[in-house]
Amino acid sequence: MNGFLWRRSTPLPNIIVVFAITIMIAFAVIGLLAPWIAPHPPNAQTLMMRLRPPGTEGYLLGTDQLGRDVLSRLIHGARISLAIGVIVMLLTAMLGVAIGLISGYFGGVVDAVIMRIVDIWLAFPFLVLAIALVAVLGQGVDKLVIALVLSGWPGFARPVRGEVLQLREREYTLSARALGVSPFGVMFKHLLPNIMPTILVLSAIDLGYNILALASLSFLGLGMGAETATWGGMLASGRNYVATAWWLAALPGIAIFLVVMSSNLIGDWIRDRYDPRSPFRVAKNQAIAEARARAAASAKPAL
Amino acid sequence: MSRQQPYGGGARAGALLEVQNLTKSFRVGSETFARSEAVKAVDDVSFRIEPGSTMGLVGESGSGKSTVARMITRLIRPDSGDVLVDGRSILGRGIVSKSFARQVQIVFQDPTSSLNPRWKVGNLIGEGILVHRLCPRPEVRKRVVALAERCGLAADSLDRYPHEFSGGQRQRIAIARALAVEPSVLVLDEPVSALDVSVQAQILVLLQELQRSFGLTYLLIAHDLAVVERFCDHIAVMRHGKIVEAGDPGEIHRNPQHPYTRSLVEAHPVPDPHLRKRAPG
Repeated sequence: MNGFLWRRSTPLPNIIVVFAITIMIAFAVIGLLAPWIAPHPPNAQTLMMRLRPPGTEGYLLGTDQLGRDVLSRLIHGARISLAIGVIVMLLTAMLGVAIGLISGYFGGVVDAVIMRIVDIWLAFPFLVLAIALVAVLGQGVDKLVIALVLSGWPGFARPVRGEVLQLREREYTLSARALGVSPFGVMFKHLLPNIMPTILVLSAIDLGYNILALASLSFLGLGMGAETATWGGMLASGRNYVATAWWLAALPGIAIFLVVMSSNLIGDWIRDRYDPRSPFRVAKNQAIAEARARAAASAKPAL
Repeated sequence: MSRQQPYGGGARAGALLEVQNLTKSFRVGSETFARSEAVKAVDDVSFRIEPGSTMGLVGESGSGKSTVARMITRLIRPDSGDVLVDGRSILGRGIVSKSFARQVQIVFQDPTSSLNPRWKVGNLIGEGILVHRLCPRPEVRKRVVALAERCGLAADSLDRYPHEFSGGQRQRIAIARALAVEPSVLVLDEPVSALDVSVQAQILVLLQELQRSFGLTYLLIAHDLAVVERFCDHIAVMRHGKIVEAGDPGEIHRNPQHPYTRSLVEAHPVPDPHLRKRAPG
């Protein structure tokens, strides 16, 4: 990466990516500042002002069936969604990468056992597994995080293992082993930096999945208590009023859509930046080669 | 001028390397539902290299010479046989195995892939020193600088990444990295075949210099006789996992016994073609 986005020598690859990054940053800032920028407390009920449409005086995005401000609840929902999404992403990445590294590096029986477990894990749909785990563990933020991490780690473990299988035969790995570096030294100091691009892409996409899963679980009533303002919970309670108060379901839906889409777009963008075979990189390399050829051609007559 | 001694292993250097009856077979074509087949990569290979001398191991690709190199550097465990440095087996496991890493080091063919692209050169060279705690942390840098200088690298190259260097410079980095742990035996797995001809000579000269000053024992692996003949005190020719001929380089060149060796000698261009005609066989 050479410098920041706006200081790159080449023009930005894509306006959509800028859009996605802007949205993510905006939601992150909103989430961080939630208690200060939300116009009302998220659970303050004004029963006189129930089901008011967006644009009502003092309630920019309207109110819900209990007279709570939708905007304030969305802002607080962003805080919870993003915080849990990021925490789950970090924990899932750590667990999955560690398991993938060990599986790929040691190979043999260790690898066979871990990969069969991964196969079994992946045979269950992600959400079904998360629901089952929440049902077993019970409610609460900590249990939700555990459930999502436990159902998400194979998503990291398997691609990481695949990369490690390739990299462990590289001569720099052999050279480190010949130097007497311990297996964990080789894994974390030599292999990990080289699979970082993959991990970044997986993480960005995983963040989107986590937020979506969190919303789905809240929608099903398996997330946090009903009083906590979550996007999934808002969607669930707004569903009953879709015909009369569309904003209750539509607004949290839009928020979920924007965040998940942005995180996927950012993931794709990171992959394009790192993967030498991606069309974007191929085009860029071609452009560089052509520029060089032109420079060489124009330099020749002068000689 | 009191310079940091880049190589403190002088007393240990120049060990006798003995390889006894090394055998290794690999399983090929192992699929879930297919029977795997054992292929003998190395079949009962034995040789010894006198302290401070160089032995050349020549053979076509697939002859098992790299497998021998990897077994000597403990990257692959042999099925049977032993590797002795100064009479002591180096094929131990666990903690013991780490100390053996200081005795035998390896330089690979392609320095593009033998240097981790995400590490700075200084850290690559210093890794062995840190792993084996050869000196206190604050002094590592000094040692790395001295070693880099000894291998013909500028001190300012230590803060750059391997891809910023030419092939020859990278091979110098790889050599410095291997020498950092003060080995007594250095295995050179085709150290110059990925390099330009002009650079090849420079690296070979560097290796000869290093051998002279530190008394290193070399095992030089190559696929043709050109490099080996001038550089080695001894030659062994490998084919299909076996040593088919061994001896003095001049002797082998003048009078190759095995048909495979003869084809190798003939493949190697001779400055004066009349010389070849006069050679027997």
